[in-house]
Order: sequence, then C-alpha cells, then structure tokens
Amino acid sequence: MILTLASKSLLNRKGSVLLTIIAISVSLFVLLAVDHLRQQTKQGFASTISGTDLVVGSRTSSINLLLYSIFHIGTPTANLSWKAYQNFNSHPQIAWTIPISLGDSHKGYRVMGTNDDFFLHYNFGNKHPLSFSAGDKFNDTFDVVLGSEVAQQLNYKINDPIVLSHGLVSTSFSNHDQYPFKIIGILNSTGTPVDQTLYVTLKGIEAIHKNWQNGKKQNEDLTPKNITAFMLGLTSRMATFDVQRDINQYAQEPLTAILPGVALSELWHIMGSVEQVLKLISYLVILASLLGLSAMLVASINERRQEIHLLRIIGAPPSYIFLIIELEAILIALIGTGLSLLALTSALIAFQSTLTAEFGLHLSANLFSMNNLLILGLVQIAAIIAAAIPAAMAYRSAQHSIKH
Amino acid sequence: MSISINNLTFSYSKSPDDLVLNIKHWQLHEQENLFIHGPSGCGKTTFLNLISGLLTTSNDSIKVLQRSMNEMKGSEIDSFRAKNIGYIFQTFNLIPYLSPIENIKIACQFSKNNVSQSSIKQMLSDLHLEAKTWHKATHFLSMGQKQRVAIARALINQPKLIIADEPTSSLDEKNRDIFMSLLMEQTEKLNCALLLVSHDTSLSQYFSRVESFNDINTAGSL
Repeated sequence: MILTLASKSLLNRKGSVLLTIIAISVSLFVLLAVDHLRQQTKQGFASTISGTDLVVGSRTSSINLLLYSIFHIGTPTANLSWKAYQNFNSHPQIAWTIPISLGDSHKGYRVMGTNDDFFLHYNFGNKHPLSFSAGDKFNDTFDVVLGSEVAQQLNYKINDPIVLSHGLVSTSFSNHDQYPFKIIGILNSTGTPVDQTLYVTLKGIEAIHKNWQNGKKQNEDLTPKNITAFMLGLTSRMATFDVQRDINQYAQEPLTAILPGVALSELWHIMGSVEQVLKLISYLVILASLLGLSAMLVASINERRQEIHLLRIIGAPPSYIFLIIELEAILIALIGTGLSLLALTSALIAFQSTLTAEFGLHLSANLFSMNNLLILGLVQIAAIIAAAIPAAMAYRSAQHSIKH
Repeated sequence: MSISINNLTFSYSKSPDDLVLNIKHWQLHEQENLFIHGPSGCGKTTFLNLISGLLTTSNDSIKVLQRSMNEMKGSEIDSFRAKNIGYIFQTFNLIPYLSPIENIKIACQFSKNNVSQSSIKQMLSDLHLEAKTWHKATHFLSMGQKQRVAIARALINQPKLIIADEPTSSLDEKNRDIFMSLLMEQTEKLNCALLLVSHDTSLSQYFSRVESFNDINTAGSL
C-alpha cells in the first residue's frame, strides 16, 4: 500500500519528477560512461601487448616509443638501422624479434612492414597467439595480411589486389600504384590495434619506396636499410635488465629499449590526474542531480502539508510519512539508474563501430562490472541520504501537523 | 462514556493569560449525537485536535473511550486514533490522486483492519456512489461525492467515535441535506457517538443534543 501511495504520488507530479529522473540518469550516464571508457581503454591497452619483453626503437621517450610502435598513435621520431637490428637479432639472450616498419597506409588504415615472426611470436590478451580466419602467412614480396576489421570494413577477400599510399591520409596523392599487393591472409579478430592494421613484408615496403623515389623497377636488393622499431622476446626473463642495458648502451647508434608494462604504467600515471579530474567532475554532477532531487522533494512537501495532515488523522505515525518520502526518492533513483544503463548500453551498441574505426577502441557494451554495481549501489545510498532532509522535514511537519 | 473532560486548560504559548481552552467539565455519552456550534476562531479545531490526540496536554484532563490521552505514547495514540476515531473535515478528506477504494484501504491499513474489497464497495453504494467513481482518482469527483467518500473512509473501521469538523461548509444546500441524512443513517447503523462541530446552526435539526461552544469553553470570557 505504501508503495502504491508513493508511486501514485510521483505519477501525480509527473512534470517535476520526470525532470528529476532525467537529471539523475544524465548524471549517471556521464559517470558510467567516463568510468567505462577509462576501464575499457586501460584493458584494451593492457591486452594489446603480451609476452613481449622489450620494445626497441631509436632514442626517444619510452611512452612515445610504446605509443607509435605498438598502438600506432603518433609518428615515429627516427628509424633504427637494419645493422643494429641484425646485431640484436643474433644476441644470445634474445629468443625472437619482430621488426616493425611504419609509414604507409591504405584507405586510412595503417600499414606495418614486418616478417613471418610477427605471426609466430606476437601475443595479445592473456598470451593469445594470432590466428588466421582465412589464408596464411607471407609467401611472396607483395603479399599482404589484413587485420579482421580492415577486411570487414573494406569488404576484402583473399587474392584481392590492393594499393598502398604514402603517409596516413586516405586521400593521399602519392599512391604506390604500380605495385598492387595481393591479399594472402586475414587474421581473426583480437580486439586490439592489430585488427585495424595491414601487414606487408619488409621487402614489399622497401620495393615500393625505392621505385617510388627513383622510378626504377626490378631486380634490386630489397633488404631494408632502416626499420621503425622491433619487439623482442628473451630466452629468460631474468635477462631483461641486462639486455635492456646492452641496447641502451649500444655504441653505434642511440637506441631505447623499454619494458612495455613499465611504459604503460608510466602512461597511466600521467593519465591518472586527468582521470581523477574526470571522476571528480562526474561525481559532482551526480551530487548536483541528487541535490536537485532533494530540492524537488522539499518543494513537494510544502505542497503536501494537507496530505500529511490527513494521513496523520487517519492514524499514520510520523515515521510512515518519513518512509513515503524516502521511498519516492528511491523510486526516482532506481528509475534514473535503469534509464542511464539503458541509454549507455544503446549508445555503446550504436557507436561501437564508429569508435572502433576512429579510435581503435573496442568497447564492450556490458556494463555489469563489480565496480559499476558498487557505484550504482552507492548512488542509491546517496539518494537515500539526499532524501533524508526532505523526509525529516515531512516528519517534523507530521509531528506538528496542526492547523490552528 | 465516549469523551470526558475535567479541568482542561490549553494554550499554544507559555503565558497562562493566552488560554485558548478552559473547560471545567464536559462529557459525551456513548452513542450520543452532539452538535456544537460556534463562530470560527473560537478554539473548536484545537478542542477536536486534543480529543483526537494530535495535540496533547500535560495533565490527565481528557479521557476518550475510557482511556487517558496523555498516558499513551505517540505511536499508541496513532493506532488508537486509526482504530477508534473517524474524522471528517470540511475539505481535503481524501488523497486526491488515489481512488475512493484506495483511500479507504489506507485507512484500513493503519487500523490493521482486514476489510474485504466487497464490503468497501457495499459501503460506497450505501452512500449512493456510483460504481464508475470507485476507481477514479478522487480529484475528479464532485465536492458532494468527495464528502460521501469521506463518510465511508471515516466509518470503514467501525470506530466508536466520529468527529466531523465543519463537514458541510463546502456543500450546497441540496448536497448538505443528502450528506447529513446519510451521515446520521450510517452512525446510527454503527451505534457510534457523533460529535459534529459547525458554525451552521441549521444543522441543529438532526441532533438530539445541541450546545454552543462558548458555553463549553470559558477561556476568553471574563
């Protein structure tokens, strides 16, 4: 009965109640969206690289090297020589290496030059190796392997010919037209930047650039002079710091070797303060909407003095009046929470493909994490606390509900 | 004895000069119908609030249905009122956004009285309320209909005492007569006492006992 009373009373004040519900759901939407984005980006970044002990590039900051080599964010500052790469490739404590050569694109997707070791040794997530949904590894100089997203978005099949462009813009004027590549393999989806990348051989990259620059064509030595960076795995993890020191102190060339995990945590450390500010803002927005709830209820109590008096006359104790106001607040908070979850889930589903294509962000539409449930629970408690002021006012009004 | 009052004094302020009520001795018998008339602002509502326990005094001056009002705790008074006193006001007798049936059910909830839906409907039809009004929010009802639902609300728990505070003052002559005859009919059926307070002396015709409030309350008269 008290629930009927509270819900019908809310329905009776549709206008103000609806606005309050919207305010609460918008604020919760902001809070959940910020938090979800933060968690998913972190998770996405952390799962992109796994099992790689060191990433090596020319001398630069560790975060910069990590971002351009692994996440394809930003541009490389300088290359490292093929000679240096070969030198460390044969290092006794290094088990495997994956060369990375960046700079070209295809219809807005990055192209990475590498070799078959990439498909053998690159791991993502929880040490998952790459796998092919169709075709196989490189077979020839002009073979290309596609990330799943590229194949899906551009509707490519095995054996389709494609042309690469210099630089990163999809409308680039300098297309490497005379050298069509042939699609030989398509990778399974990984939920990492791998999905948005095309993989070609180092020789293929070298070939198109030589001929693009010189107008010459065939039968040249296609061993590259430079690469952008390389990843490596060690024979024993114990050797990590020895090898890192060896690389950093390499006399011929200034190089930087980073531990991807350490560089990531440095990145999170920098992002940390931004995160905190965003969190603070979203909590303040929630606070504002809860104060709005409180204000709406306070205003309603002034309109409902007669109602409270009537309930008292027919035998309602003041605690009953307190409970009605609290129940109304809880109903509003619950409906607001439901609406925000619904809105955010539909927004995530609707914009998933855009976000993936534009930012390489794979966002799960599942919002039911332990952390989110905790936040939502806390918001309900906060709503109960916010409603305590109007509920206490109603209680007092009930105690002294005497018309003189 | 329904109500018995001995040496009641009451004032809202601390000063003894501002007495609102000063009643030496006054009684309402069981099943008695009493009409008290008096101008507005003479303390009638305060008097009724003291009887219903919404206001309390520090001494043992008011007994309602043999129970001393200042002996009971707040929650006891609330449930005592829910079970034993039916109240009818001039206006705002009903929660406007609830239907007549829901309004009556709320009254039953506080008295912890299990009244069946059918007996509520029976009562409403006894009060000449058509079935199409039973599930409508009461703010769609006419004043006459509302006051008749108020009778049902006040009587549903079969209280021993009905208090009516200017119940007809918002009604036109025709509705007033319908209301009064239904109220008298229902209280007689229930064998409960009725205490009706109004400034409208034409209501005297329905009552066996009629008093002027100024005769009961000596506060303010020198």
